[in-house]
Amino acid sequence: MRIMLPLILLAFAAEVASEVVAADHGSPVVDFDTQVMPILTKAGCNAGACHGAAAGRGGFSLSLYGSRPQRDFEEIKLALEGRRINHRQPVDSLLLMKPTEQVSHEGGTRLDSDGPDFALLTQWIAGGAQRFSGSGRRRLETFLLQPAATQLSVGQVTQLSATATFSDGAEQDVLAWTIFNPDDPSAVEITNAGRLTIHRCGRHVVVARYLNQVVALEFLVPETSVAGRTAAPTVANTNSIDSFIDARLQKLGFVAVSDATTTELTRRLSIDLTGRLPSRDQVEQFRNDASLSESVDRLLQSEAFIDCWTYHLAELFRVADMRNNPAAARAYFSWLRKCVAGDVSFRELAWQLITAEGAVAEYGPASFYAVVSDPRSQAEFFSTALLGVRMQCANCHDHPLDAWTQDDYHGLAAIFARIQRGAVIRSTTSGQVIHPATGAAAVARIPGVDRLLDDAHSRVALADWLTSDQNPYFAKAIVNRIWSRLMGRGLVEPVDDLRTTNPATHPELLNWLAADFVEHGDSIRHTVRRICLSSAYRRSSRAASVNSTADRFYAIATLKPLTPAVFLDAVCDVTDVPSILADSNARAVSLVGLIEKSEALDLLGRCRAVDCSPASSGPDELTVQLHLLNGQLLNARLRDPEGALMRAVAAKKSWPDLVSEFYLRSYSRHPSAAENEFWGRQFSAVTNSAETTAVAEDFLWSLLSSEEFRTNR
Amino acid sequence: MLHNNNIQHATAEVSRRGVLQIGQLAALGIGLSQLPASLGAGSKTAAAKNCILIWLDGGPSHLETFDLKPAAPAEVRGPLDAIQTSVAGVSISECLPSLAQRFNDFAVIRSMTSPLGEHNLGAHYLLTGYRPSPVLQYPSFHTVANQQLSHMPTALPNNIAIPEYRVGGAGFDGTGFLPSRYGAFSVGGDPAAQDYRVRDLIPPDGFTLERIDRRRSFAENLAKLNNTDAVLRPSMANAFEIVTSAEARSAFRLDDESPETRSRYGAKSVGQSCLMARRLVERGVRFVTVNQRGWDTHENLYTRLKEGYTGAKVGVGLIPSLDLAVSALIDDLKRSGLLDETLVVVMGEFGRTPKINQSGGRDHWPRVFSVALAGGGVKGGQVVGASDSVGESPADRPVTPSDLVCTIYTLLGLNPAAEQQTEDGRPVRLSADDASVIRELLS
Repeated sequence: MRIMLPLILLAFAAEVASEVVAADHGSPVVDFDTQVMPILTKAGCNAGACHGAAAGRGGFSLSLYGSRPQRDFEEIKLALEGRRINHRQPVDSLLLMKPTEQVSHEGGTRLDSDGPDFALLTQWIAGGAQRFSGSGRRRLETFLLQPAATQLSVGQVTQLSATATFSDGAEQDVLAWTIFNPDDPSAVEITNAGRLTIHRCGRHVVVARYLNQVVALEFLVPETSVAGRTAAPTVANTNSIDSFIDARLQKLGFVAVSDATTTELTRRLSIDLTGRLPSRDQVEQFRNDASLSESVDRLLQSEAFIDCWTYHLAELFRVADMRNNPAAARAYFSWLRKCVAGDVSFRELAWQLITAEGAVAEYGPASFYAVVSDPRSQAEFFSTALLGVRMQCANCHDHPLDAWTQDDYHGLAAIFARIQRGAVIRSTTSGQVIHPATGAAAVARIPGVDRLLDDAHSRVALADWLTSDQNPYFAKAIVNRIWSRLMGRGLVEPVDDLRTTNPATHPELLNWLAADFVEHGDSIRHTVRRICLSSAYRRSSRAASVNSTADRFYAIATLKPLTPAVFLDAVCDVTDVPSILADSNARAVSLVGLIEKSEALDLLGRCRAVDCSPASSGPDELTVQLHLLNGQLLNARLRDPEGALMRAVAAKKSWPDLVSEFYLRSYSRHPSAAENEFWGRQFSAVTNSAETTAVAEDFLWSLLSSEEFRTNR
Repeated sequence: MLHNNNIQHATAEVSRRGVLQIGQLAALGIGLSQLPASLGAGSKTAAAKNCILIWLDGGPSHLETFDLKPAAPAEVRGPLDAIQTSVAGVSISECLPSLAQRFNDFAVIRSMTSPLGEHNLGAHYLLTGYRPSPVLQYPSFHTVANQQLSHMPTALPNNIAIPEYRVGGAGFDGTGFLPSRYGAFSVGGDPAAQDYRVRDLIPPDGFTLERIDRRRSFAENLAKLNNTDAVLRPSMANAFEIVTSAEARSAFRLDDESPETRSRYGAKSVGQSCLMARRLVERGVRFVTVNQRGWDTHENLYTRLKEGYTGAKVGVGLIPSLDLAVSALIDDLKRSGLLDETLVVVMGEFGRTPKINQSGGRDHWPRVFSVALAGGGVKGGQVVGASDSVGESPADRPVTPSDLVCTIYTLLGLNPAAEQQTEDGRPVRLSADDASVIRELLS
């Protein structure tokens, strides 16, 4: 008995000791969340290629980049019957032996056994391998990443510093556990000690990760060739767009080119605002307008503007995917058209889409839910179209590059699971998605918002959140798309990939445009007008010798190839031979062009993919060229006896008039003296009518297949 | 430098560590470019001139094609059996009997490994040797080789895809930062269709060669009048060339082949596409991609891979049709003496999950998968690397897509460390700097 007592006491004491905070060990307690986790991230243990993979690796599974500390704690301490931790001999823990290759480790050596991280982990284990709960847990409060300078020149070196503050008041240099990822490693080199060297000029982004914080640093490195050149005098700009753009150009050492000519602007505005070439009357009108804003306002009031921008919204909201239900497609399209015609507030439009219920053949917005067939696809569609965010990564794990979690993704899908699809869209009380991490039904939730939803009104709550002033994505996403249509490139690219780690080329401009959009009733027309009246929009696309990346910063206008539908309509307009879509003379920039079969449109690259974006690869250029040369698209129209060309030939128009007419139709300008001289020689070389006809066909063929015609410059 | 050799030969011992060490060499400042030139130029045999890629779009299951696991549990081994090949100790899918007989011509890598399990990303990695990056669009190895190597004297484009280059989803067109004229020309349609014609090769009725020439002249002059430096867009120049060359146009006429030949390749699209690939290579086209779609078998393995349709007595699914097509191609290339100079690569963007899912299919699995190669100086009759007992991870000799592309460049006589320039003056190596040549493949 007397012998037993001390033994029991000893055992009991040992038990207690392991539970007690190890203050009596003499060393400070190591915190799991804020000290152990960063080590695992820095050492690469929880990367997607290793234990952070959805299926883990070698039987050891951690959350990707440490997004779930509790789960990781359990996996390390409790899983595998606790064999990963050796309390009696901490250095014999699997957790330490594997990364130092004391036992074979496919991942190689990830920790130096003489280093501070190894010592910290050992200390944590020696202290009982704890994770504190609730209020006792140490939390990260702020993370500040600073380079000593952001405006650097090629070859310059700067030191990065990373400081974190925690809930216990501690402030610490955490550079050692920050992971840096330059977008372009050959342009920006960063050592483990945070020493950054610039190797190339331009705009460079570096993404840094510490704990659950991911931030982006931007560096502007001016062209060396303009070092010392005096900056162009800044003109007082009433249009803030230009003040933001010019400021960036100055920082990067780019000099803006002059404005495009009136003719070029006429054609450019007409294509951008109405999707059509300007008619000859319109060319005249432009010339007589007192100011550019007069021209812009006239185009904004036209029916063609409504057609064009309805088409853009129809692409965004995937009207083409309703092609198997023409009545629904028609209802969806006409509803969008009414919104554009009435310049309905975009947030009102979005609100109606999300809360839509009814028969798809009658109530347009209901088709928003008929375009895809399951809740997860709906969540992804909602996210890309209205938030400009690609949430699909968060299906299998918390999004590694932004704050979206798996709970957000499946929570959003859960909202859309409560919808009955079919000929009639309505809310239901049943319907769920299984959350892959829990195996149970996902709890409905608004992305990024902690509070859970009252199921009865979840779509309304979602719509309210989307269109609220606090939503940071909604306005930015749509103005970025508008900017992209007009300027050839989004401020954020790709336009459906807004995230903190993909910063805009002009962040203040994007914020300003979004705020301006909201201030003016979410009016698409207003923002279009703002952009069209800026100097940046007006710039010429012709360059003598300009850095090839200058167009990314709007020093020079981007060449925008005519999209398939616009090109087809343009060809039809020049030749006066309409396209045969659905046995009507419908234009391609229309509902018909979206849903009807058309070999011509497909051959030109009309996108039939589910997530159509301008970046989707279309047909290769050789295929298009062969079609332009040999196919019916151009040839049938050139030869059509009712077409403009054959009518002009039959009327025996003189060659100068013929050439002039078709230059105006195609290019919205007159031929130059040299061009007239060339065509004069060609027409004068033939005598009989058959040959003249052939020359006329080949003349117009060369105009329609030229770069000048096929591009919006 | 010599370390590299040692690592490559010790196949039994090389692990992931071996792959990492090459990276460490780079960190020490010893890159591939400083390795002896012989390592770049590679083997004793002359460089391959042509490359036919047979792309299995969607991610072909390694467990049903080249890496069967008959001893694994039922939920892993799948519905197909393994059969012996002409090489002792090597067995492959029961649905690849013709390939099995010809295994002496093939090298199969069973330990390919990649972290990218999404179609576009995986396809990009396999086809360029680089992971997708936000900074840069990389070109495919065919596009790069097209730009680097000289063009045979033919009006045909040097880089052709049959029927379309839409690989890995619609996001990748393979041209990357190189001018688009080096990208693949897609012939379109279905070569197995009755009266198949490549679209738009023949001018409209009544057009003489003179007329075509005039159009060309008008186009050239117009471009110059607009901008004195301008020349014709290269694709337009190519279009004129093909159209005015009867020989070029005849390359696409499958009708010129005997019915016996056509049936040897199999009646499916992949078969007739491989036949067209052979015709093109015979006429001087160096780079051809045959795109066989439908391998993304998330459901119904047995029907899609073997049967073709439910209840088929003779399998006409993806694997049997591939078997006929590739065997006929190898036979014909051999017969015409072109096999040694034509590299044939058979692969997709990743493998498929070892555990069969609830729909009787397999999902994406990039962690280990197989790639098959033949011709072009590749040492046949061998298996490189191995996966574990359930086809889940590399067990031995992991090979990355970077390594594979680096090896393809080497076989084509290109130096993987050579640099190309992007438009904004950025130097880009042909191959990622941590890539190494798969020495076992070189003869």
